[in-house]
Amino acid sequence: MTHKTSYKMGRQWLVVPLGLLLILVSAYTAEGERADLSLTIAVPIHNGQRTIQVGRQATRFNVIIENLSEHRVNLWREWCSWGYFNLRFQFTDEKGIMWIAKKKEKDWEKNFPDFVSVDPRDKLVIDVTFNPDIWKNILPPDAGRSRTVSIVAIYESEDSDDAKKRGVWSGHLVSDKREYTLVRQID
Amino acid sequence: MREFKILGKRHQNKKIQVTKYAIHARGVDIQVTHNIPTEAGKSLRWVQTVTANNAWSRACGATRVDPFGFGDPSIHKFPAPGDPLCGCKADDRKPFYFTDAEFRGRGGSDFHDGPGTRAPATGRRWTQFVLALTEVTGMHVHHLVAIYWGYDRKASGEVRVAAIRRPTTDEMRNHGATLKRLYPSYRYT
Repeated sequence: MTHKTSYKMGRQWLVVPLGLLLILVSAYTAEGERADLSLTIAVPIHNGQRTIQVGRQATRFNVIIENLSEHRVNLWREWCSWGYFNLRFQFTDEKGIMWIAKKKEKDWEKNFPDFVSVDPRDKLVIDVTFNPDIWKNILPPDAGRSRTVSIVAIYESEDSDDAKKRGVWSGHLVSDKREYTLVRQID
Repeated sequence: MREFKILGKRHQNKKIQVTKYAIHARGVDIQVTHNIPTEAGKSLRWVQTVTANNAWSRACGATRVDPFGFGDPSIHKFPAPGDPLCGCKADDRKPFYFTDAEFRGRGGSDFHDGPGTRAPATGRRWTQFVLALTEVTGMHVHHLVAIYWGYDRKASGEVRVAAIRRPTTDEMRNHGATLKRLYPSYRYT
């Protein structure tokens, strides 16, 4: 056996455990990346389109967070400031112009960290009304009565001391991007 | 952090302790705990009144039992028994800061509030609180110890906190009168 052959065999011995390690690492990464939660805008198709009303008298729609994990997940409630700003929406119009709708600032009186616990395969349903008193940037200024846009819901919960203390989930969720027709309601 | 001992005979020298008093982007975050044991037939409940120069105080009374206002259906649900027609609402029909469900769910001992306000166009928005730990027996609300705290929000957005101290006699009188006005079926001492 030449020195070259033994070097080659040595390399083969290395390749097998390295390959196994790679498989294990990828499996672990896939597990680690598996989303614990999913985020969905629950607006079904009616007459060929998904319609969302905008205005002070607009009807509400739902955004749903589903717990896909095998353990209970705590999420901030929307009424307190820890949860109030966590949901926002990214809009893209037909020209590719993008903008973000998020909650307006408001005054807070009674306000303390409050959360709900969502069991495995259970859901948290968030009521959303695109009321311009609550949301900013829900329609671009040049919008007419209706506008077709793509919308993505984004839910982000900060990794704060309050979250750690209460075991409240922190992270970033993004819904599928879908096309919606925004219809402005006359107030 | 600051401690305030009970000066009266009932639970004398037991105390409340301010464990957090910190500015956040819109206001201030306060947490207070106590070391008083609960006795059978009695409960220890936090009661807070608020005086401010905001829309809620203009519509609902210069000093209000917290919470009492309008515009947030998750909190403003029930008219106060003592002022049912003013249009302002509380989160239940009792004078306590935490509802009964919140009190049970949280274990009852700690107080936590994180009020905030938008920056005014000019001048400042001030908000002042009197927070009291009370021992409740039936409809009798007995004040054990109280503190004054609050904050200002200036037009620049800056937040300034007030020094925490014991309330003055006038502030306690105003606190008691407000409780009686909004929840008159309780007896306050």
